[in-house]
Amino acid sequence: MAEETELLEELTQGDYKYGFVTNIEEDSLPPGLNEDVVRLISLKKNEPEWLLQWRLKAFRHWLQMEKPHWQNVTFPEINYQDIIYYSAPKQKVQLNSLDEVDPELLKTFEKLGIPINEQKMLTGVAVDVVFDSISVATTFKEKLNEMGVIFCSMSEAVKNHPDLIKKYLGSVVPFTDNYFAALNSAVFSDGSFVFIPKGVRCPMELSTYFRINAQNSGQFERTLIVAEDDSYVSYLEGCTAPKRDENQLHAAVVELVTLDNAEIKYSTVQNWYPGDKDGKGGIYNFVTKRGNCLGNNSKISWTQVETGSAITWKYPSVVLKGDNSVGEFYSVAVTNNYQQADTGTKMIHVGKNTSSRIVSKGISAGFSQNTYRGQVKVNKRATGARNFSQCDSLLMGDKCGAHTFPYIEVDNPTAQVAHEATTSKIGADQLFYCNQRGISTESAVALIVNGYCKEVLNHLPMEFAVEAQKLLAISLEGSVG
Amino acid sequence: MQATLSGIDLKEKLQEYFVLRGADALSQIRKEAFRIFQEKGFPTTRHEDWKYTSLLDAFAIEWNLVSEENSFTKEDLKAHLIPDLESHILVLVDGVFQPQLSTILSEESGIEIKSFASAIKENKNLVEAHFAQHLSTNFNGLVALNTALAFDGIFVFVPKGKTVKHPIQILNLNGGNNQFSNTRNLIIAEENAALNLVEVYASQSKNSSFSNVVTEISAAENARVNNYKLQLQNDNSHQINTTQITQKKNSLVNTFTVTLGGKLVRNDLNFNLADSHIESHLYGLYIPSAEQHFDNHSFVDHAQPNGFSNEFYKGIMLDKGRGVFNGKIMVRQDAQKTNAYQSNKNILLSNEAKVDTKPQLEIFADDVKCSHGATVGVLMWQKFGRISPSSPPRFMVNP
Amino acid sequence: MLEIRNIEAGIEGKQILKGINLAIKAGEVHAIMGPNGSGKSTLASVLAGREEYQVSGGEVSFNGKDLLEMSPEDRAREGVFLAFQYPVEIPGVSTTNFMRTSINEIRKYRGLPDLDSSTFLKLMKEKMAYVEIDQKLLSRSLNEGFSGGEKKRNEIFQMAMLEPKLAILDETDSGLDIDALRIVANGVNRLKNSENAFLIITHYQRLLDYIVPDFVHVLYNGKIVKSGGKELALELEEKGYDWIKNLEPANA
Repeated sequence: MAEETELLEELTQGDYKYGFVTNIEEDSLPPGLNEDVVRLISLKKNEPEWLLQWRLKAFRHWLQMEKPHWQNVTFPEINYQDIIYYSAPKQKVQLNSLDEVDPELLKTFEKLGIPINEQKMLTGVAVDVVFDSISVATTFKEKLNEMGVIFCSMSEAVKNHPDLIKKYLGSVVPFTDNYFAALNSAVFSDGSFVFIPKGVRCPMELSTYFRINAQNSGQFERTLIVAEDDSYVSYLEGCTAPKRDENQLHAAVVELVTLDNAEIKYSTVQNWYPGDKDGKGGIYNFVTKRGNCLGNNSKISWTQVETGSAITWKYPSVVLKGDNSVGEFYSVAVTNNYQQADTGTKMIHVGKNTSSRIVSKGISAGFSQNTYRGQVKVNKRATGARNFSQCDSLLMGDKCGAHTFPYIEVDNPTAQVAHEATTSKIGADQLFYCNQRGISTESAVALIVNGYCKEVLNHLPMEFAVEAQKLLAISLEGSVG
Repeated sequence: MQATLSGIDLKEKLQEYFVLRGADALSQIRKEAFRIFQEKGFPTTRHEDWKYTSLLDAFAIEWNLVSEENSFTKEDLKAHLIPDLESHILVLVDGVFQPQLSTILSEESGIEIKSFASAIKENKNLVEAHFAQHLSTNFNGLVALNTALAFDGIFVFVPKGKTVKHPIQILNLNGGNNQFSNTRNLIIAEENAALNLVEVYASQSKNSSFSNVVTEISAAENARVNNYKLQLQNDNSHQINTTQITQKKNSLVNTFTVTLGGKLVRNDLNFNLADSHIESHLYGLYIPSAEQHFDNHSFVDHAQPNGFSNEFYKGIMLDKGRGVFNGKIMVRQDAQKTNAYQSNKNILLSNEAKVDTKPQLEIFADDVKCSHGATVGVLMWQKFGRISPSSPPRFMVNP
Repeated sequence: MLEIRNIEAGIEGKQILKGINLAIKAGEVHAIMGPNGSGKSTLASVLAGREEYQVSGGEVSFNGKDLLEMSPEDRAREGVFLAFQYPVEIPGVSTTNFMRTSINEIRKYRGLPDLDSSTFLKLMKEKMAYVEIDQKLLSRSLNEGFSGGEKKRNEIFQMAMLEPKLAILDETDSGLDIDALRIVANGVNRLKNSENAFLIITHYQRLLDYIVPDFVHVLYNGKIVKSGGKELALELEEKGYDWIKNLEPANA
């Protein structure tokens, strides 16, 4: 145990110097999408026939689907033929020192406390440190190997663990699910695969060394986590460093499966480029995330802090199939300037005595629109289902909007479902109280917002929570006073 | 879109009406409404607002648009009226006003209580000033159809400072077989006016019916209006009831909607709060049993500052009963200092019962107090011990 | 330390303070008494810099600096503390966290580094004893669900933590039972020294049984109509406020 803790500390506290390098081909395809492109992607990745067929089915299905139109989100039409679906990682212009980097970006790094070397990595400055790719990452992998935990890229998993992939890929989010899930299934580039065998509690959060790798995993990422009976894993996705990406559309798919008594805790901090102050640019983040509590007494918990992207459209959901299974969703979504977020969750109660809990904290500032959309569905046979949802909105200024759309559908008389929502603002009296204690308005806003989000932030792993707090403050800079 | 209903060409129907009654100042509005109807058609579950309520079964029935003669007597009606209530009694059978069955009491001069058909002729200016003027901008196909084709209903006008002494009781009766009726009510309360409006919906036979009712209520500055709806139709009736309320400064409107009867009832209750310091209360109770389907939609639109609205709906679902609640509160950018509350509580008392509830908040102003809540289940019973849906406690309706 | 010269101020166009003069030296305790609506709380708000109040005339100097020119946070950082009549709730923010932010922002202004955790905790433990406040209360959301007495004790605790030069107590005694009143007063008395000063705003003299003022001023209709020693408070208690209404403004 002591050894594990040590390792964990080393991983989380040391300067970033661990590369997780996957071999990516050097060439790339021209923009556009057709069956040949799908075949080529599969060929380049040396995939087995069944996966190619699966991709093709997804692609054919996608062709027949209607482009989605959403109630509270507007964006210009995406031209899917303009996107490059397979390419070597974009070779960024190599800079010689941090002096050449956008000073705004550096300021943000500083506030977040990102180590210098990592700053260089993130901005594409040549790094003079020699990467020791064998050392810790390898130790880390060996450690996990011993326990039977598989943690690798999706491409590796397809090669090395085809049976598991065949069994679970698309089992939670079928390609027929929605437009972007179909697109992702057809063209997904890479992603991560995690498998926790029976009875194993993964001793470390699967996170940090993933940080830089996530840079290149592309716009159509695919994650699959399977937790067998009596196992546990905590998975951290994302990167608190601001990410400038040329790819405008991101359509990832994340699938989680828990068997009997298993638990998956999935945490996300999303801070992609939100566009500039006038709403130009920024990422469209259209993600399908779903967990399937397949086994009895299993649990899936989503925690997310969303501050980035021009448009966020995601509903991390849980299908509660196993009896006594538990689903949780804790979310903070911040929108500023011209950002739009339409996010929430779905809790589908199928098994007996299942319970779910939803805590959503929305913060809108500037000219942004922030929507909570959530569904709680209790099926006919889901005897004894319980749900409690709490959705709060905080508005800063009168040019933004906060919207709450819960859908509660109950088909069983023993269900107990309760939903509560409130809206509030940061009061002038609260700000004055802080000012009178010597706290500047800017710090006061950060303090009050963090207090407002506390219930959610408490569910994040420690080191993530600290960065998330700083991130909230940065996202809301200049929105009051 | 082809505009037909049970094989009847509705456009012909509209032209028929024009020929029969002659063109008037409303003709233009009706033609435009018909165009909108053709564009939108009847609502389907593909519309977000009709996600949980399907009209497919209703439109499988052969409807008759021409109302039949009836031989009802005042004695027949007694069972449907609220007992011992001294009130104006206005009777509509399949949407057509029945003077011989109605009793209008005397009121102060200037107060007008009559059929909408007579008001079109006798109160031309008022009707023109208000007809279709209170509809929300995005009304559905059924409201459009009603606006195009409805020629009768009830008209009430209360001039400045007057109070209608007696409640106005409107009895909407279904009589003939497979009647599809369009009923239009127009209620105008001027500055400082006050009135109580009671709408009773009942059936005099087991016949199937489709009532498409639209009521426009205009409450001017300081006006006070209470609107009670009691929906008690038979198990073969379909009722789509749209109430559109416009309120001005310092006015107060309370609505009470109780739904106990009907095969399918859909209520759309829309408040347009286009002025400051307005107060509105919306209360509702729905108890679907057997195979009844009751859907309550409401929309409270706060457009100006210092408004107060409070909505409280409760549902009890029995047998195969299905309840739907969809409440939306909108607080627009200028509506600072708005207080808006909404609560919907439901209990299911059978394994076959079902409820879908969707409370919604849309807030564009920061200095507001808004909350909504919804519950389904037996939460409030826990203090009474073991939960058993088969033996519901008797005090279940208490808040 | 504090010199108020002919201050005039009001809110929403209504003039409330009509020329106040007052000088407070280090080591002194001043009490301002007066009937409801005389302008007592307005004076506190103006000194602390509450935005809604407009100052239409006069000046205030604090240790030689123009107080009215400063932002509310800079006044606090210079050493002005206001114990609120109605302390504000901040959900999800503990008193501990609040105080830590406060102290570090003040230290930053004074060019000092952040206080490290152990020093901060030691300081907190020490000051908690001043007002007999419990650690549990300090871990809860600031003022949320606090009783009236807990809120006021918490204000005095904050005052003890920040060690201001000038502390203004705005009706700190209102709504307190006698035990809470004694605890609050003890806290103030322990903090009192030759370097700092107190301005106590109150409607009743009972707080002044516990905190003995050097000077008592009577505020009426936006002006100080009478000043005197501690015996003036007793006189007011005995006679009520009616007799002062005919007094001419005192020249301070």
